[in-house]
Amino acid sequence: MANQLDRIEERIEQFVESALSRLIGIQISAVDVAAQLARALNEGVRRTEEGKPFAPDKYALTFHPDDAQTLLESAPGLHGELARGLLEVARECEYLVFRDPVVTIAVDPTLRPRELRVVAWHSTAPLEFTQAMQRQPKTNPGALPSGAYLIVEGNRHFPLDRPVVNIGRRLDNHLILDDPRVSRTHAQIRIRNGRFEIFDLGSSAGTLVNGQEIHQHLLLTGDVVELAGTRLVYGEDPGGPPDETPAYSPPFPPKPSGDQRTRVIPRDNDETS
Amino acid sequence: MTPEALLLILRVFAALVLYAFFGFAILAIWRSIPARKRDELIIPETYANEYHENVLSHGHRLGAVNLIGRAADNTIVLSDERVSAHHARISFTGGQWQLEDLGSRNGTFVNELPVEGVLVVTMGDRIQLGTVTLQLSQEVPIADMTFTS
Repeated sequence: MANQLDRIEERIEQFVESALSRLIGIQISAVDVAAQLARALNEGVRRTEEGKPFAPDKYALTFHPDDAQTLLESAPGLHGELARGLLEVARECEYLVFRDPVVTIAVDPTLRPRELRVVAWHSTAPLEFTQAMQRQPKTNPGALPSGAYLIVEGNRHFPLDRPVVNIGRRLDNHLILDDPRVSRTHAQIRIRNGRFEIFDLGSSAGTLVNGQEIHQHLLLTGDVVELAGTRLVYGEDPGGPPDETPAYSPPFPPKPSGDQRTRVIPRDNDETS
Repeated sequence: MTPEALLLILRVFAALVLYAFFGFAILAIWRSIPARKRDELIIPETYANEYHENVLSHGHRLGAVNLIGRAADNTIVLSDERVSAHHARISFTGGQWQLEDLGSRNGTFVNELPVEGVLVVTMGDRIQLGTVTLQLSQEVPIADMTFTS
């Protein structure tokens, strides 16, 4: 890191010297300016999660009022020159810049003549810098009603053992109903304040609970849900779903998950020969 | 009655007939939509009330599609370092408010439940993004009112 700082300082010195050499009557040392700029740039670098370094894009050089006046009078284009130089240096050091650097010259009467202060910062937090967050352990977020299940068409049961259950004809639903009248995403059952609620997702045939068309409904044991003629009965029994109905299985076998590795054929000639 | 006046009356009459026809056509189309579908086309007045540590700061009126995040191009801009640039989306689809996490860094939670895929949210639900909480409501409560969980 020290090498990097030296390298930056050296590079900055070059262009600061060339910028200041043309000014007559300026007593500010280029080495001093360069050292301070290099330090500000280096300290202002922020890294993203992936380790991409961003150089600051705002620099303020503060001088004594008299120095600032002579500077601005003799070199009105100094800001631009410094900004271009800083951009070049940042690029050479493989720092990313969110915006083109902007240099401002400020005045502070509390500074002594020939004294200089440099501050660098980021105009906006680059959007990649979303701070990670420490989540407190959740106080039992989705406490599920114990032993909740659905009986599908009176002959299979579907345990409601997850906080969100999507129902529909499409194969990415949790409960897939193979009926052309059922919409692709027909309804969603989700936990809310410890109870299951069913929501119709704008299905074309609608969702009925106990014969009434519903939009949102808090499920109670014994509720009969009808999705385009497919009947589901909601039940809660801590002992589990009734034994007489077999467990639900999707009409199509789920796609194999995980990596499908190509089998390695053992070759015996490597070691035996 | 001069012919000019007669012509004017006829013109006005023709215009009225034309507008009546348009009105009738639109009414007929509207009636042909099932009542349930009609409700899905009208976005109910809903606010996402923004709370920072249980203190209400804003009530955002929700439109058909609402992008939530830290970047300036979102519908709901949340200035919190823990909220991603494009964090989540709430859209009115199929007569329901549907919430989706857009691959945010810290995730989106509804009443402490992490959002995976699309989740239906409704009045009273508390959506947590970073340290900000958005609570869905039909109205903006009186400022400085805090919610109880």
